[in-house]
Formats: sequence, structure tokens, C-alpha cells
Amino acid sequence: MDRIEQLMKDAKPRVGEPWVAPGSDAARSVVFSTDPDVVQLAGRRPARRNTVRAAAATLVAAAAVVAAVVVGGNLTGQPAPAPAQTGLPTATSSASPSPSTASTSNTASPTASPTPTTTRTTAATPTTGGVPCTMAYVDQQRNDQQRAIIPVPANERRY
Amino acid sequence: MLAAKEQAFIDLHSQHSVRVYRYIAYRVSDSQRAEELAADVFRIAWEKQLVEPPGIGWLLATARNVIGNEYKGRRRRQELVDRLKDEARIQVPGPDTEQRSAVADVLSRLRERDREVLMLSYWDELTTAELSQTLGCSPSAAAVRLHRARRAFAKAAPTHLMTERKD
Repeated sequence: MDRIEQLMKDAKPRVGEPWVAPGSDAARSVVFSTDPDVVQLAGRRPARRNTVRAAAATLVAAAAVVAAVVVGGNLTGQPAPAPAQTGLPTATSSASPSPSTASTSNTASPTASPTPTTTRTTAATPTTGGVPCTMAYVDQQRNDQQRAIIPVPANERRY
Repeated sequence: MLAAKEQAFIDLHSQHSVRVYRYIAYRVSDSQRAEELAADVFRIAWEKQLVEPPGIGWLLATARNVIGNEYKGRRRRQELVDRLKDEARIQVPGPDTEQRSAVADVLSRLRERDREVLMLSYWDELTTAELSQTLGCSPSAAAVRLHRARRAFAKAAPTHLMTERKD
């Protein structure tokens, strides 16, 4: 070793080992590939990315729970309103299997009265009140002639 | 199962990454920046898709260009001077501290090409073949350039520095 070589080697800077300092992973090049045979050289992922993924997963889970609650609430059975009882025989109730009993004034016939159900109003056995049961009188409500719309009494409210 | 290309690149990185890093770290003060630039060299090697795996000469020539892009012209020379001053400052004061400062002063006064040949030969410990690959010339031309650089160093160095012996 001659003098120049000795001087140069003595003056050579001292450097440490590369890629051992904390945070040096950020300097690594990342090669993206769709090749399934390629494996990640740097196995660790940045902590920030993991945090973002965890937050996103939490949001998705919360949204799923809220959606399930809303949909479930809408699907639960609600009390359906019963059809309003007019007290007049409907076409189905007046229809008799036997054509011989079909008449327009079947007031005493059991088939003319509506089937007693829980939705039945307090009205008495419906009668036509001497009025012919024709289509011309269908718009008569109960036995009164009042055409005004009045609120349903509280004891008659079923829903 | 890694493809042959990926495995070859991993072998290349394992074999030469430390030398490439040191080449840059000798010339750049910031060690983290040196790591980034060294990683940049291997990124370029990957993107080049060379038929044959590059040797240390090609990698160091690329590293030299990467540093050149990082520190243009006069700024690169100033970066080296700062690097040598930092090195002298962090070393424990001893009998060779003054000698080291004198060598740094001589290097800073040499021409760029002479300084680079000396550093490649004695700091990066390249053979003549590797030196020629790095410089992009024939081995005989590289030997001539090294001879001229040594002569320039001897001419620029003070007499006591060239004659003094450490025993």
C-alpha cells in the first residue's frame, strides 16, 4: 500500500449499515404486480394503512347494523285496519249458494246478515228499514240520513 | 414460488446493496437520503429489464448519475466537501485528525474526474475492470485515469502529507 492509498483509506468516511435505522422502511421501493407468484418483500404494512382499514371496517359494520334494524322494523307485522262495516249486506254476504234464496229483501235470512266478527260495530242487525235493497239506496249509511263525515266514537275504534 | 426474474433481482440486491449504499453514503451527508438514493438505483435496475444482471460497475455508474441528478454541478462538489467536514467533526480527535482534514482539503481541490477515480479505487475498492465499467471506458483507459488522478493528488497535497509516515 503506497502513501496515497494509505491516506485515502484513512480518510474514508465511516458509514453504518443501510436500512437498519427506524423508519427506513418508508424508503423501500414498492413494486406492484398482479403476478400471483410475486410475494411481498416487505411483509409489514404501514400502521396508517391498517388504521384506515380498521376504521373503514367499523363503519361498514355499523352501517350494516343500522340497515338491519330499519329493515326489520319495517317488516314486523302491524295491525291492519279492518274494513269499515256499513251494516248493509254486501254482495258477498247476500249471495247465496242456492239461487232460490236470492232475493232483494232477505232481511230475515241468516245469510243476509254479516257474519259476526270482532270487527263488527255496535249496530244492530242490519235491516233495510223498508227501503228496497236496490243500487239506488246503496249510499245510505246505517239508519241515519246524515251525510256528514263524523269522527268514529272512541269505543268503536279498533285501530 | 418466485419467478426466475424476481429471484435474480433479489440475489442482485443481496449481493450489491451494501456497496451501492456505501458509495452514495461516502458522498452524501444524509444517511437516510443515501438509503433512498440506493433504493432508487435498484428501482432503475428493475425497470431497465436488463437481459443480464448488471454488475457492480453498472450499479455504481447509475448511482453516480442518481447523485448527479440530486446534486447538480457545483452543489455536488459542495455536498462532498460538507460530507468530509462532517466526517472530520464526528470523529474522535486523534493523531490522524489533522491528516484526515488535509486529505479532505486536497480532494476538494482536485478536478471532479480525478477525485472520482481516487474515491472509486480506494473508498469503494473497485478493481480496474469494475472501475472501467463504472467510468464507461476500457480497463486500460481506467488505469491511465487512475494514474493521472494519483499524480494530481500528489501534486496538490502538501509535502509533509506525502512524506509523513504513520508507524
